[in-house]
Amino acid sequence: MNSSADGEAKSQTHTCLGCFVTYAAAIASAAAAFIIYQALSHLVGPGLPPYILFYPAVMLVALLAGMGPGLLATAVAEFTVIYWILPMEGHLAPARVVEILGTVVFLGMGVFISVVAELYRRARERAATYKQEISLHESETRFSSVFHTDPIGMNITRFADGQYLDVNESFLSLFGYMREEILHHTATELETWAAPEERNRFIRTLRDQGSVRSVETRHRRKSGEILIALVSAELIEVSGERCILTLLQDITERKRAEAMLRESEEHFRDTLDNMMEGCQILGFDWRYLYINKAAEKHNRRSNEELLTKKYLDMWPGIETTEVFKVIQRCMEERVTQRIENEFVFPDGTVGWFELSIQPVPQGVFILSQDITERKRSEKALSDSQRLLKVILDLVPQFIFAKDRNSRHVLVNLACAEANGMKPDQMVGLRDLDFVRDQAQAKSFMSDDLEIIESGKPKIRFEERLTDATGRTRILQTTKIPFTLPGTAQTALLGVSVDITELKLAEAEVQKLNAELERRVHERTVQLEAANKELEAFAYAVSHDLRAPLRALDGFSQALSEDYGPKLSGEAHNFLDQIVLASRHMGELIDGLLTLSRSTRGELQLEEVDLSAHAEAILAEHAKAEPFRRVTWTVEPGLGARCDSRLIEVVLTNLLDNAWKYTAGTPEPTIRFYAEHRGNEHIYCVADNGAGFDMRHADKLFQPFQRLHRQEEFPGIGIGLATVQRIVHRHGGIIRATGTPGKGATFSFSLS
Amino acid sequence: MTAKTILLVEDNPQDEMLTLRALKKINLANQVDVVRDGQQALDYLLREGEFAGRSGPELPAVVLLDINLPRISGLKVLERLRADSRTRLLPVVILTSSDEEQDRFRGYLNGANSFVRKPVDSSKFYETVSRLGVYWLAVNDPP
Repeated sequence: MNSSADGEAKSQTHTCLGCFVTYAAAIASAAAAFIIYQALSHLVGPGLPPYILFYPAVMLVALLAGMGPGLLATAVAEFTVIYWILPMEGHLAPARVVEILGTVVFLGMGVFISVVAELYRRARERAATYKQEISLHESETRFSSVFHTDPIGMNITRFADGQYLDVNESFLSLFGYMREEILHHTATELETWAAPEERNRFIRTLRDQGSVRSVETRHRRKSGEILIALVSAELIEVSGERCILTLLQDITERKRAEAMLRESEEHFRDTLDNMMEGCQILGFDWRYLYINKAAEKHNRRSNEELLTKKYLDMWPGIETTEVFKVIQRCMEERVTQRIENEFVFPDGTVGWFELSIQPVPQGVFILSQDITERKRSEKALSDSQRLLKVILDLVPQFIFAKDRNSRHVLVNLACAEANGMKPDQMVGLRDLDFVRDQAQAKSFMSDDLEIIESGKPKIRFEERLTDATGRTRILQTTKIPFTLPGTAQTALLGVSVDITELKLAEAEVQKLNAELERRVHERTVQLEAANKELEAFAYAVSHDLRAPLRALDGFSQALSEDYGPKLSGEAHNFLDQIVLASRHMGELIDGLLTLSRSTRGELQLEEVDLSAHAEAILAEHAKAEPFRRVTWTVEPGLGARCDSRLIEVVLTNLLDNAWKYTAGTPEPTIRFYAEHRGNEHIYCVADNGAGFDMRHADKLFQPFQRLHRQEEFPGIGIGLATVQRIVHRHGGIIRATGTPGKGATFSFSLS
Repeated sequence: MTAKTILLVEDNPQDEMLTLRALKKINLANQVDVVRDGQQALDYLLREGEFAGRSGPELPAVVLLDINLPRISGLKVLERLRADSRTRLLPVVILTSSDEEQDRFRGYLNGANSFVRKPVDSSKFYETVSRLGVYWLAVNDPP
């Protein structure tokens, strides 16, 4: 520290200069007094006492500058008077006694004043010095007491080496040391500074600026704990040595509190930032002060876009909306507002938000919740509820719900109407209150109770209700226990179907059925009787008609044999005709019988070897007419499930026909084979005989219709009718194709 | 040795005539007795009733029995014959114009030895009857 040396030099120069100035001033004031005197005397005229102005001048100088300058001022004044003033009055030297007395008095006064002034000055100086010393002592004492009692830790260290010269109690308690442990040790030794760079910086600042004000530094207590302090220091002089007076304010707690606050603020801020609800703060100037992530999403604008911008600027046109008015109300009236707001975004899409707007010190805080989904589901729910109501009322069945006490809580239109009321009229009523028949009502209610208590549903049971018009309806009801929505109460849900009509229909059907049964029974009896008649008839035919035929035939023959020679040729011819006719009749009867038999009786189904039957039939024919050379092929292994006897008839008929109609063919061939179409078997009898004209094919299967003349091919024309009937009875179909002169094919299926 | 006889049980006069004529052709006409209904047949065979004092062999060599007979039907007669120890083994040929399955079945069931249908064709009829006669009187050994 160099300032005191410089100061000394400076003060020395100051003293010299000061002296010069004071003495000059003395002269100047005397001169000034003289000039003024001159001016005055011009004004006033002669007679002005010469020293009148010099007295004040000298007094002034002496008081202000001291004895020296006072004496000088006296001398100069005296000189001036003697050499300037008096001569002007006419003489050179003080001639008059007044003048000489005045001069002496003035001199004497001047000296007196100067001395007195000097004494006064010295005394004052001494007093001042004494006062200074007192005050210094006082201040030292005060300082010491402050030093030692101040709650702020203080220490005085030697600048040169950092040795602790003095420390106060607070410092000791802050650091946890005893006085002896610290004094005369250095900060570095004791490691009281936690970070040496901080100390270095501290020292540097002190050196450069002479003081340090409120710097946060970290120190180490005796225990090793870190202490954070606010440090101020000043360079002072103690006993001639340069020292540092340091004040440490323990701000550890404060720092900790600050850190915790910051942390909790951060934490809250984080929470706020990450809240699901949108948080925005608008300042009083309507600028966005804070927007959290959720709010960014709700606004569909980013933080950067909105922050510091004005609300009205960001949403043009919003000033006309309700939401703006609400925010404004909060901003101005400082009252919390709530609003459910439907917001139309610039792109035209719509969102629903629930806003809670609260006044906060910075302006308003807006909590926003995206309730678009909720609104949508609410709407969907209300839509579906409406739909449900429409459906419930559309449905013709009764739908109702009752609570524990059998009071209706839900009633559809159908149910209410049946009871002569509107749905809302029926809600709240019990069956007892409106059902005409009390017994019915009691039964309903006891059912309800049972179902609710037991928890078991009663499904599709019948009950009776006398409706509002007095008509008794039969209902098929299902009642189930269920929980009323929105409560935990067990209640009852019921559906009734009006089955009155159904019941009537059922009864009717039963009646009809019974009637039908009876009729069927009647008919069956009739049919059976008819069948029996038919059987009897067939029997009669077979037996009784044949006998006369036999007689016709037999006696004609007998006649011919026994009386042959006696008869003419013509007579023989006649007899032959009789025989022929009776034989023909026999065939007709046989055919009829076969036909009738083919429709009577049950089919006795069994596996029949059709190939074997066909072979047998053809073999018979061959044996009966050995002279005819007929080539036949029977596909082996053809079988079917059918009535053996009836199929025999079919095959016999068809093969007999084939045999018959190939009589005139030079190289006759007959084939029996099967065709497969899908899973159907078609059995075919084909020949290359006379064939037939397809134009008359429809007549083929009708009884007694013939497509060839009797002389050509004898026959009675009943066979195919029978065959057809048998095939039909088996559930099959028969078809015939033919070409005149080329042949015919009969194909049939059996199922 | 007693001559073998045939008992013809036939209600139809024409059939009777034709049958006899046929038998005559093979010279068996003299050995034919005719009854015309079921009751008569039983009486004859069991020597009861009408024929209580019948002469001639105990039993015919064969009975030609029709089914459709007045009073007692042929099948019933057969039943009775088979029930009686005297006539249980008596050869009976059912000669009928019925071609009902049932009749044939019942015939055999009741114990007929043979079932023959009367053909409408007279020449066939004669043939059949002749054959029957020859067989049962000449070929077959009665019990």
